[in-house]
Amino acid sequence: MSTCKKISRLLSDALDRPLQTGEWLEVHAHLPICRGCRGYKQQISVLRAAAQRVRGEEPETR
Amino acid sequence: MTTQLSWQQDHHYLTGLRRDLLRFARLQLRDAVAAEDAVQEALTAAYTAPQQFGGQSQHKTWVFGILRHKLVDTLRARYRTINLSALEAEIEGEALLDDLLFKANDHWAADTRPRPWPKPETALAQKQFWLLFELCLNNLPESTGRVFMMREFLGLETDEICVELAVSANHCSVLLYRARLKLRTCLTEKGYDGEDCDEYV
Repeated sequence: MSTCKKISRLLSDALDRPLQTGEWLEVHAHLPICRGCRGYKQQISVLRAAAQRVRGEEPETR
Repeated sequence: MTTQLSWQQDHHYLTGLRRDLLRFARLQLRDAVAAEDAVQEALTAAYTAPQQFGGQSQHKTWVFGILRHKLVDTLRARYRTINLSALEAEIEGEALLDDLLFKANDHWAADTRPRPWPKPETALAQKQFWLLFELCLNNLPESTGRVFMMREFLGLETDEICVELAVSANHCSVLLYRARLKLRTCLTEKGYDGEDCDEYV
């Protein structure tokens, strides 16, 4: 069973490299049933947007 | 489209540009004086380069590019490699954070479960967000903070960072994960709730 610890690590990895198919499926099976991981994913996307702003780029809106 | 006023004469634009460049440099270097120097050098280089730009956003990207190169050089000279035993200690010290965030079964603990923040457009317009973001970045352990900033602010790929700092790919991605987890936890603990929408930067 996927744990939130593992999924949160994969959500972070996804910002740095493409996930492998198995990893991607695991993440997307877990997200719909886990509010905490959805919250975490949203928060790290705000951190990424902030970093883009800091380096003088307009954040991509997703 | 060309701008009527040259950028050197547009004080409003220059003030904003300088402020943004300083924030960028300060976060990287953690040294206000060195940050001032780096920004001054970048602006001087920009003044002396004859360039035509379609608009301010392109110009801003260009000046940030100059500063970014300077920061990469400075940081390369400053840090050759990461001290591996310090790195191991940093990663081991993380057990405390895990105990706070996760239950024994490795799912989020109910009271610290991440709750969504406002959308990026909203969050990035909040003074509170930026204050806490900068504070929390400065609270990151040394190697964790460095890897995060090389990735997120200098825009280096993970492979480049690993090679640069002579650490394994796994260490790099663990450090990035821990940096993001710590940052979001720190912002939450310091009271970021995204509800001060009336206070804009």
